[in-house]
Amino acid sequence: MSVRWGMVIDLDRCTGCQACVVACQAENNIPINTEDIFHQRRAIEWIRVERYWEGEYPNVKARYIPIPCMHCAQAPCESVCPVYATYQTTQGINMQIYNRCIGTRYCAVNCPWHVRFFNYWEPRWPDSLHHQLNPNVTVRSRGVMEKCTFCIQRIIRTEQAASADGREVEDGEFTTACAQACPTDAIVFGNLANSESRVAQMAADTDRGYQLLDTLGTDPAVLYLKKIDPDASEQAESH
Amino acid sequence: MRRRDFLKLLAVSTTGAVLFTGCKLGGYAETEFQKQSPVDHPADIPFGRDNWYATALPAVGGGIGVIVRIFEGRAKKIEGNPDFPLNTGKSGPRAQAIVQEVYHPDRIEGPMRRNGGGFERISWSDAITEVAGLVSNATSPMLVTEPVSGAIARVAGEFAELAGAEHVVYEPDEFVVLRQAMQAVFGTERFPMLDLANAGSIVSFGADFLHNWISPVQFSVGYGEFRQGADRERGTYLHVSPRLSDSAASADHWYPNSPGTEGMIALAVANAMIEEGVVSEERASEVYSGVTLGDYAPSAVAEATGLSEDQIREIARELGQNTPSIAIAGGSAAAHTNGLFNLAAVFALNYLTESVNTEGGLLLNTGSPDTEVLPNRIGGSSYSDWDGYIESMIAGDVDLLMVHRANPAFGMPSASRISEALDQVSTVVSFSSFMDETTSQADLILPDHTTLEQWGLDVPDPAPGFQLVSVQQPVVEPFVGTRQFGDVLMAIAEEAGSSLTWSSMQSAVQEMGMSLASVGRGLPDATEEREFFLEMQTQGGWWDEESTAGDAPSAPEEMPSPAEPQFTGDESEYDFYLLPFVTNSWEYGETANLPWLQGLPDPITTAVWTSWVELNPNTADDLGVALGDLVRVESPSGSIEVPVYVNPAAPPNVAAIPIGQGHTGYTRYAEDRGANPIEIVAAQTESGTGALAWAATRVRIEPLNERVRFPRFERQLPFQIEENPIVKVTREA
Amino acid sequence: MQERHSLRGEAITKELLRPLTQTPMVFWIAVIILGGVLSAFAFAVGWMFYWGLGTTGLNTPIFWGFMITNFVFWIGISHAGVMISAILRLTQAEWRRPVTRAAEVMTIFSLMTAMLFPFLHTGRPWRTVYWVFPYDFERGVWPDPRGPLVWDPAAVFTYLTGSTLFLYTTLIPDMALLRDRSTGWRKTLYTILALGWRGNERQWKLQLVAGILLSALILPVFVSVHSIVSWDFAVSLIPVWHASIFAPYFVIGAVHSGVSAVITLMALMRWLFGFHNYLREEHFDAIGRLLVVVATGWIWFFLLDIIFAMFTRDPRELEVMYMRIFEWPYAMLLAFVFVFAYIIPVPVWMFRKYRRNIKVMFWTSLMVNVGMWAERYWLILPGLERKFEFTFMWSWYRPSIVELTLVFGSFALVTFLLLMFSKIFPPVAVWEEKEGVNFAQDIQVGKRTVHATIREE
Ligand SMILES: Nc1nc2c(c(=O)[nH]1)N[C@H]1C(S)=C(S)[C@@H](COP(=O)(O)OP(=O)(O)OC[C@H]3O[C@@H](n4cnc5c(=O)[nH]c(N)nc54)[C@H](O)[C@@H]3O)O[C@H]1N2
Ligand code: SF4
Ligand code: SF4
Ligand code: SF4
Ligand code: SF4
Ligand code: SF4
Repeated sequence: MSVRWGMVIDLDRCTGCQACVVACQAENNIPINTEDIFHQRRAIEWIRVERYWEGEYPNVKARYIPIPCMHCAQAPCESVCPVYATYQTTQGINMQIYNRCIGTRYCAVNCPWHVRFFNYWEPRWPDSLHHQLNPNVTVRSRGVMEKCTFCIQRIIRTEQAASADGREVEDGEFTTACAQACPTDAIVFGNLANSESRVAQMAADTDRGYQLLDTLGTDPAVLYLKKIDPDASEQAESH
Repeated sequence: MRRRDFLKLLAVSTTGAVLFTGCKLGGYAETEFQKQSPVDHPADIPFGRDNWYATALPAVGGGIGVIVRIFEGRAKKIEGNPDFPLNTGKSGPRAQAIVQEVYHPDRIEGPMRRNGGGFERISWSDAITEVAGLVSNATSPMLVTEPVSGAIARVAGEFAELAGAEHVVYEPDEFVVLRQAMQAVFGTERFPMLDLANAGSIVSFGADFLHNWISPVQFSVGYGEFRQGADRERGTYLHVSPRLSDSAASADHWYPNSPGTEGMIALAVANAMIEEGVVSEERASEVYSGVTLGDYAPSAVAEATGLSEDQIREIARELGQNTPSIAIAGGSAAAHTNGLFNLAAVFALNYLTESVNTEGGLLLNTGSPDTEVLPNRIGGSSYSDWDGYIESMIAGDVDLLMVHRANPAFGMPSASRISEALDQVSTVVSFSSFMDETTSQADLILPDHTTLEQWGLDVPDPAPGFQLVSVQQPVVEPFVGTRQFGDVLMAIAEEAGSSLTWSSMQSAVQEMGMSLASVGRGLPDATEEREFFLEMQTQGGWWDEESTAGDAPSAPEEMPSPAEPQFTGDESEYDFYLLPFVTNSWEYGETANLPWLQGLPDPITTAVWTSWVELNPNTADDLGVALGDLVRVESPSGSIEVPVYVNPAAPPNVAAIPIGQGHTGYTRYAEDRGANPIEIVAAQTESGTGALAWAATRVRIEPLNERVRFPRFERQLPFQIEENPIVKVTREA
Repeated sequence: MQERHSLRGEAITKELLRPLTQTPMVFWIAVIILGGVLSAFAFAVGWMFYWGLGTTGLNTPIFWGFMITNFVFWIGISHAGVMISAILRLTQAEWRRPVTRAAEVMTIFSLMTAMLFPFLHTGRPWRTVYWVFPYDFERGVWPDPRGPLVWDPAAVFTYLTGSTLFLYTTLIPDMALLRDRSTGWRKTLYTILALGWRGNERQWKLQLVAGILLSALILPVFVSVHSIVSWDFAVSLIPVWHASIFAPYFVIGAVHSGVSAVITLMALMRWLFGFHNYLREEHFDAIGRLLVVVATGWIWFFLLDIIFAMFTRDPRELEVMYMRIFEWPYAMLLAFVFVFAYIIPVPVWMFRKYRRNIKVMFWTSLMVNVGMWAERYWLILPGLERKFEFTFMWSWYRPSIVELTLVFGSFALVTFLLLMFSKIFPPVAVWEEKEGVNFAQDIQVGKRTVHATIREE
């Protein structure tokens, strides 16, 4: 079966709780974002929850949106990497080879979604916190780029288990850390190429779908479902 | 039926093979369920493979069930337990971060005794002997715990009885009021379950139910369905509160009200419902007995509440017509002098809409299946009661204070003199795993295991509308030289010459767990006790989906009489309402010690590692302050200095400050960050319950002409551009 | 019209070789100061290598800053060499003679300095080998030629190779001259470098042909280098970077700053080495006239770039343009660029009086380069600060002391290398001067006497 991993994120379900953010940090050995790191504006969150304001008090709205890597099929970050440190897998994942990356940061410059993060410092954990690190995920050194991998370690593990059993990976057999944690089920992960999968069906059935910066033509693998707001203006409606 | 299918779906969605120890390992008779450590279970090691073990987090999200990924004896990752009905495989930010508790660099590594200004390490046997001696000699000892339930409640209770100690529970005062409101309105102390998945609408009066309030994970799971569940209309959510809370941001409409007027609004809503014919006048006056609803016409109260007449009617319409509907109240609504009235008046609305114990409504919980075996969660003492305790401590009447997982020195305002009281007690023994404020005033520390290293049986509150017990098993060996609180109590009792019923928490949990088999219903359904407990451990607990509350009372037993909120601080002098609020990351301050949560952006402000005061943009302009400007927030009982966050959603007369920061200790990650607004709260109490009315203080704000760098995730411009907005919205789909 | 008294060959040789043998006090002072700055530079590099790029002011999403700006700037400067030498040589502009050597050397040193920066600014410089060199045959992992970061080094290396050969070709006769007049290690060095030059007709012919060929070959490279550097930005998706006009715009900007730098250098050489007889007012005059044209061309592209952005009516593009033009600090910077790189110097250069005033030329040319450095910054940074409509992530950039040191260090480095060069090689081509003298004739054109060289070919 052909595979293209993808996500549907329903903004009408998301409550901005950020469980996805911590889950990703725990799963993927993301360095601890200290206060200094925030001051330096170098915090690393492979998935981040942005909050946008609209209107003025008292008719003010705060809107949340979780943003992981879009895993663009035509990824602008890939073609600018001089050393092939970031590339497209056959399953539609924009992958990062930490060992190969020399840290030119061009990929991050050219990613319109701001989802690539550079290790400006050597990541450090107090000795004891090392014990929490996930042995299936490389700890990145300073000087390399890192980003959402669609939890590749989970994908590989499930595929290996399936192939050992001589079967195909089933839809919903596993999911990414962010999707698994998300209490409102706002994030659904799966194989877009499998029309039977939950993501594919959600993508096909909805009329709320939109892609971030779709006009750039990079074909993101993440589909957002618009938030429903009874106060939405005509203008917003037309978007 | 539907939920079970849902469970099944989630069950397969966990990573790889979810193996639960219980059934996997055989032949280690006595340690069968206990050990995953490399030492005792070599089988766990050589493959470099992970295992998932089920356990529970009683203190997180109302007591959710989780599975923990263990790799070579180390806890790596927490996920929601897909079998556990409370959270069905889901979790939240705080649950995710609990692994950091285990490997926290500043854990207290073993027992310590005060030595001058600091502490010295002592051995466990010395510590236990010493405490045993103290217990034997104490004339009026006191045992303070968090709101415990189940196994530890029994152990602690029995210990307190043996030691002749008074067992006092400390919890945030908001919940003291909520318990009493539940008692008054529904005749039960148990918190309610909100059947959001089937509800048509919900109106929350101040309860940040998606992120913080009583059972946020459970409610969030329901909320997802509420909004976009298959085969149902999208639910409507209205939020009334003086601050746009994290949850309020998800509401369809947010109505900022004058602080403390939630109850009045509820009465006006009831009034409007009568007008609209949703409910008969007789029925309404039966529910609101003793209240003249006629006095609360929307037009009459609109101005005082800060809501418009239309908005009140809108709430009435939503609740009355978009049924089943749910009305809840919490947070600052409870923390006023009329808090009990506020909550009761709001919760009583559910009677008018016939939403009590009906599908899609507010489901009452019955608590423990057998309170003899497993006591329900014990609610906390009110501030007034604490005032009494503090009096007697200061008078020198308490000679031994034992504190477990409660931090009154941080949670109570300085006006309470708690710190002085702790000084006056001859010996304070703390069982905390971390050096919190109360512990740093202790004379002896006997550190407890962290959550993932413990045994326990917990009765979550709220349960999911039916009876539920969770099993906590140690999924990793203790990382440092701590001992579980329950075990230590047993050892102390034994040393003091009078042993408790059980020899260890493990045996206590096993015994209590096995005796649940005799309940004879629910899951697991094994009859043999050992097998029963084994299955219980494997699935994460026991529950009986049929054990719903049954018939609800038809009307509140007693309706607190309407009251206006009273505020400390004269309006002319103190021109802002101080509004402390609980945050997504640090709750009441318990989780401020975990670096992931310190570094987790506050959903609304995106602030990290700090605290702040939220001001309306116009107010900030008037004061001449901007983001990061330090201001002194001064109440009649003290002042704190915090940086300003200009919040477009802040009402002009409200100064909202997050609770949870301002620790003077509590590990390197929490120490000296921001300020604690509770400190400057006036010692004013809720009139019906004696709980601290922590939202009933007025303050004034004085710019300090100093700017600090404000740590936050958002970079600079707090708006969304109109062309190509990132978050797209649509009216109705 | 001769603007100097006639010089005989020996006098030229003596005067032009003087810097090699005489070392004035000011030289030592310069060496000490530059040495100081260079030590700071070396320390900053070491510090940055040791601690990582955290020591810079870069952040997310401002991943590029001073180092990339500086890279583009020095690549720009390097365009002077070819502009002066190749074009003027091909067009046989006589006034080029005293200027070519300095211009070419500057090309090479500024190119080398420029190339240092992409290397320094990587996260792991010690691993950059496989960025450029496809060394890893075993696994078949090659550099990815789809992206400009691979075109860049290719173009720059080609340019460097070409310029070095070009410079060397013009150095050979002088090396022979020096070989014959020196002793010790210098003699050995010059002997090797002279490649057995005897000055016979065949050799002169070969040298001439090689010079002309290299001039012609290097011209397209010269155009390509800055075009490709501009594509580092233009092929990206970033609003305001993604502009088709970037290549010619960058090239002409480069010529503007490069040629100005040559003026600065000429003025310095005149003062330092006393080359009044060679670097004469007429030369400043001629380059000044050229610069008026170049600068005006550049300002035209500058305005076109802004107009094109407005033309798209793309809000993303307009957002950045708006910030660039109207918001602090970019509005200030824009004014600065305009005033320094155009509004002051060009009107001044319109007057023959000022074009012939070395001090005026020195200061105006210096201004141009300060302005042009700022222009690069102005072009690069705003696009990163407001990348697409994620206002949540819109950020800003303040360079750290490390980056400032690196930038100042780069100026010190180029200056230092030029000084060192002048101690070993004649900073003005002796043979070219002599050739000019030998073949020069004063011819009458209308009312004017024109100094010209007529070759028999
Ligand atoms: N049949 C067969 N047997 C062989 C060989 C063979 O070719 N065929 N090769 C032999 C040779 S050459 C070797 S070197 C040995 C290798 O034999 P082993 O040393 O047993 O090698 P692995 O199975 O690769 O890895 C051991 C374990 O380390 C875990 N691990 C990975 N990273 C970490 C870490 O950071 N910390 C800890 N604590 N554990 C980690 C892995 O998950 C794995 O479970 O096998 C020998 N045996
Ligand atoms: S979102 Fe950014 S990082 Fe991800 S594939 Fe697209 S361009 Fe690359
Ligand atoms: S930072 Fe790494 S991945 Fe990105 S372009 Fe440079 S080498 Fe490639
Ligand atoms: S270790 Fe990783 S980076 Fe190195 S060659 Fe293998 S796959 Fe490539
Ligand atoms: S898919 Fe995995 S790597 Fe990507 S954001 Fe989610 S948790 Fe992080
Ligand atoms: S976990 Fe889910 S609900 Fe929470 S912020 Fe992430 S996507 Fe939104």
